[in-house]
Amino acid sequence: MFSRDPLANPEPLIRRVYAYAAYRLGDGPDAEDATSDAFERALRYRDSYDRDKGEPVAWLIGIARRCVDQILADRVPVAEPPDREAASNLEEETVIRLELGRALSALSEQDRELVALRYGADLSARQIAAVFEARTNTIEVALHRALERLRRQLAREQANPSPAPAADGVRVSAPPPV
Amino acid sequence: MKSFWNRRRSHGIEEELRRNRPEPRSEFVTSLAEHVRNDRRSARAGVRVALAGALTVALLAALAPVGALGSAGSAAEGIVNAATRVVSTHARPVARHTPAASQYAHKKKKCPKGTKLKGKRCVKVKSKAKAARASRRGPHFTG
Repeated sequence: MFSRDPLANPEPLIRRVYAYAAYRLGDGPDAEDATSDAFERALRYRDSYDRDKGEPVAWLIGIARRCVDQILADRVPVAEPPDREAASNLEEETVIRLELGRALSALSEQDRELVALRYGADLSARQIAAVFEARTNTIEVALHRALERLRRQLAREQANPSPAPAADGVRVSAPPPV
Repeated sequence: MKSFWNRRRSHGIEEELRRNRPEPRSEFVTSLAEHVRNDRRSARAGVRVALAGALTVALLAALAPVGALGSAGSAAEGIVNAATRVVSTHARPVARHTPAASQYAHKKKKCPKGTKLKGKRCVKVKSKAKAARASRRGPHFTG
């Protein structure tokens, strides 16, 4: 009976859910809250997990999406100036991370979610399609476009280092319609 | 100056996204995993208790009809036996082929000395000498 338990090996699942939440909310306490909340709900509703419908990580990410949405909805819009001067003194990898975070926060909510699902939760396009109840091809195209926008945003930031929202997920405006 | 992202374009943005994937704190992972495992353990214990209860109930439910049938059957048999004893006119059955019967049934009856078996009785036997004495005396006086 428990061989089908979706939470039999929690560590890798925690990492993937956290990475997904962090790509959407920013690395830090909010992502931890979303991850904890997702696992609490998963424990409560683990009987609802259907092995035939997908892997445990896809089921967990489905739960985590709602938790992240809830945190985003509860957030008070506060814009913080980016710490670019401090970042310039850090090592290269840290700079990349900060720039990525800034560029991601400038993307639409849907683009961020796609990037978070693909590169945070490490889901395949087919698994993301199952989460969105869409066709795999549609997801692949949307993901490709999201990456293009991210590339442009990074290039824009390099060309014109203007103040942008902080990396850890502070939402300045409502996400544009999908 | 060539931008950083243009310099690293060959690596691809996808690779950077994967490489710079946010990692949770190890304490956070440990504590959450422990919490999940504890919850699973308690749930498993609950399931075990429930399973044992369910099995007991199922066993009782399965055996109850058998016990009831047995009890009803023995009660009916008792009634039939009692009625048979009241109504029946048969003599009490006697065991004929017992070990005693097989050993002593055909024993020949022995008669005392001077008697002989005649039918089921032992009758006195007249000796020859006595018969000769009587014939010498002559016939009995008849008057």
